[in-house]
Amino acid sequence: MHREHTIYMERYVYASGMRQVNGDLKTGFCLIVLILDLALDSPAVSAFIVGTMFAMAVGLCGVKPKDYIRMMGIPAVFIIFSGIALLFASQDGRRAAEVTLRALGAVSAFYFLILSTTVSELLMTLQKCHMPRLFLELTYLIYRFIFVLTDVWNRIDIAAGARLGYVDYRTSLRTFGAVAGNLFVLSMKRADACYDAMVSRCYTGELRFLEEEKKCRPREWAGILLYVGSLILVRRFLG
Amino acid sequence: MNEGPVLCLRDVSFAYHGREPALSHISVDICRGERIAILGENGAGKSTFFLYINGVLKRQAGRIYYEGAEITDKNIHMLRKKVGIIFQDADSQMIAPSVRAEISFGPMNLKLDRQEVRKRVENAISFMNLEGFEDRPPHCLSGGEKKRVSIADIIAMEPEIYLFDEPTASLDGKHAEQLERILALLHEQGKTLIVSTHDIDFAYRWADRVLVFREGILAADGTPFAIFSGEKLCREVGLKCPTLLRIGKILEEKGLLKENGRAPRTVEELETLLRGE
Repeated sequence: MHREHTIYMERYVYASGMRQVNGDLKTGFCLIVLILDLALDSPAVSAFIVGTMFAMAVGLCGVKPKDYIRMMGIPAVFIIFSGIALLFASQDGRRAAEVTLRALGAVSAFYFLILSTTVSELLMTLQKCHMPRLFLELTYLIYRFIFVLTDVWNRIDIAAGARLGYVDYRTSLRTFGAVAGNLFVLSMKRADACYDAMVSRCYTGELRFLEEEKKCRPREWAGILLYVGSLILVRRFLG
Repeated sequence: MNEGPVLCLRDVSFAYHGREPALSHISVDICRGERIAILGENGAGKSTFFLYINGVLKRQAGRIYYEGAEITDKNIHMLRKKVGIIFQDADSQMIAPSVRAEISFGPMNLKLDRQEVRKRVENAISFMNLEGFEDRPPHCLSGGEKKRVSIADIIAMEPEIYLFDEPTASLDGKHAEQLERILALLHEQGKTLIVSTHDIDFAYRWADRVLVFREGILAADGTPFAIFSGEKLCREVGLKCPTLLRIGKILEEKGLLKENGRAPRTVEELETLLRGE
């Protein structure tokens, strides 16, 4: 279920209308929105962010409203429960609502980042921010292998199920152990094969890729300014 | 064109740590522009041979020469640069989060300048008809598309020798045909192609030369016709006779095809031979 969800969100990025926009710009924008959401400390601003991010995900990234609400569902449940806990702890309903709304705004900003920016764009931006190479290279490989391993796991799992591996509780437990063990052995083998393939392509200890540079267009800058401007106006006139 | 072999192995042996030798006493000369098929049962040493002549495996015994220069630990990089492997399992070859980044990995490692890397990546993308896939991550590709990316990976490095490890193993008919077209294009460019395969008919139709491995030994080396006509050898190493060669022989026996030593290699050749009579 969770896996479907992840791939789901990925698909949007590649079909997104935001694909041609510079990655640094998108990341920067979401970061600014996040910071303003936290710094302006206003429920009106947070509500505005939740609403506009939803509209932009639908309008600019081409996400179906139903899917967006489903995606927001998971973090929203957590945040609302935390809000309720806060309500009981602080006995201050207004404050609890504000904090809940602010958290929802922050999540919205990051959802927009996920829905508009590819992982490679994000990593390129982090690289420009002088994130340590080790961290970046691990991220590249982990990102790639999440999918390779889930794929392998799926296949072993289906094969186990086809041979009645999950017929009752006891068998299920045993099968699960066997599948996990097998997955471990296979991942070790896979890691070996992958390393050989990297060495054969002249890998000498540093992962380096070419990324396409997308130009920032004036209207994108204008869009960001407009958005930040309207956040400040909302803060000023609606509190 | 009077040049020596591009790659030359002399009495090469290799064993993985603590195991039986995977290659023993291999001596072979490979010439520029040759189309070589490598046959042999699973575990006969084909994949080890590939990793060895690509310079991934460390030399143990024997010598290896590239264009006459002996390869040592110091210049083993040259081998990795000039020889490219397309692995059987495209998934273990791919590491980058997008197709473009993936194809650029090899050229970036060659320390080329960005302009050149970009040019090579673009060329490889158009050569393999991958336009429109540039920003996709590898897990959003189908099996055939992954294979094309894994070939583009190597094309972008512009090696002299291409090693294909069982390239048709997981491809459907359409993609297998596409692969043969790619092999033909690379051959036209004068590249040396070495393909390991279990597809006897493909080896017979496509290769200029066949190498047969058995238990780490180079059991036979010759033209497809010579190899597949040798019934004793075929029995020994468990090779079946290619369909067309067998049909040709039956037709010869029946007197329908003249015995001129030229057995048909493709259905089209068989047709012209039969119609010509």
